[in-house]
Amino acid sequence: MSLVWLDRIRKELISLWDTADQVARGKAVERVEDELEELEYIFALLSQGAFVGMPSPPVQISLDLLPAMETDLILLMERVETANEPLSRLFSVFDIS
Amino acid sequence: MTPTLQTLFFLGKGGTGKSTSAVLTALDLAARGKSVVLASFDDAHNLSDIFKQNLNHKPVRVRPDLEVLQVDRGREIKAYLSKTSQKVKQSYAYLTAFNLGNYFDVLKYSPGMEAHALVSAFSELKDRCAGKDVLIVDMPPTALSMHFFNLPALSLLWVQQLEKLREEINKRKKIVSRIKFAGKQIQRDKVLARIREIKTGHTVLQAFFRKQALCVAVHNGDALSSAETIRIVDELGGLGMALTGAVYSRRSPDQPEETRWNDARLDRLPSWVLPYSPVPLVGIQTLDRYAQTHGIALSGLIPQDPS
Repeated sequence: MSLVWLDRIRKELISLWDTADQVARGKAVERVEDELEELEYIFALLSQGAFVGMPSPPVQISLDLLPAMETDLILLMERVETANEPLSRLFSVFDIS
Repeated sequence: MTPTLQTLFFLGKGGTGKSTSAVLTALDLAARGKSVVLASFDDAHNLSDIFKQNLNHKPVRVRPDLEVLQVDRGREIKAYLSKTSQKVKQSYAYLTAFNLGNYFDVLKYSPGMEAHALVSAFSELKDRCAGKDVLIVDMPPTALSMHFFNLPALSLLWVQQLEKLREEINKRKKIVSRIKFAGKQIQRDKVLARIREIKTGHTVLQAFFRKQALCVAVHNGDALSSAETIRIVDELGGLGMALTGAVYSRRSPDQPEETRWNDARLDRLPSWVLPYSPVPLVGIQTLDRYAQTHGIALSGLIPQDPS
């Protein structure tokens, strides 16, 4: 009977450790992920800015990259939609409520 | 062994005689047994008038060793946009958020498309001319010609920055993958691969322009065409290129037989004079007769092979 209890406690501890590990990993990369998303947005803006009225590179560079940039374009369009609320996005990045 | 293709560009102000000089050079080289391709990048279609036939993108053999063609910029732009549009349709699942079809319709009027169409036509033509001795290009007026030569350098400026940024993105993706997904392999970045392909293409073309392109300026000796020739020398110098020869095409019998530039870069340049012709230089026989009468040998614009 006590062995069964011990085994259950061991499993609980392992599960607790896994959860804590996942939370810690998530927290650790949150900022990097935000930074990554921001860089991807800047890249999309630089290479495909013509879609949202920004100066862009020679048009053939945009067009040569276009077939490989579907996700970047979606990100660009999403950002344009929320462009009128830049502060709220910044607050959410830094967890300010 | 396959001969190295030599490429000669005729530049100059509109109406100075670029096409006539290009044709005389082509005929002379072909008569000396060189296999020559003469292409006009100028929408004025002067070659069609000189050869008295409608030329298009398909080469026409006018002499056993001479093929002539006219590059159609509109056609090149249309073909390029259609190819890109097809690629987008193949690789995108998402096409409803914005209407790319309309975007492509407008792009043909976009600044820079014309220079790109010429660069793309030139690269294709150069590959097609493998095995020939000489490719002669009758260039459009100066502004577009300079955009053409500048395109690889300008594109490289952008591409190098985009490559750096993309590498930063991939570095961060690797960090996220290492911490969150225990280093699971991230997908190959197609965008970075494409950027590097573009970079290689432009680097090769830029090196070709700097080291192998033979540029000849044609002028009439008057103030405007001379000033434009000096501007061409300046512009080419900014791109790491230089003129290799000049042709003085006399438009009237009163003009002096030689020109002095008072510019060391032009004064020391090998020069040829096309004497005044009272009859229009149209048709192969007329041009042959004109060259023979005046002893014109523009094949000298190509530096002699030391071997």
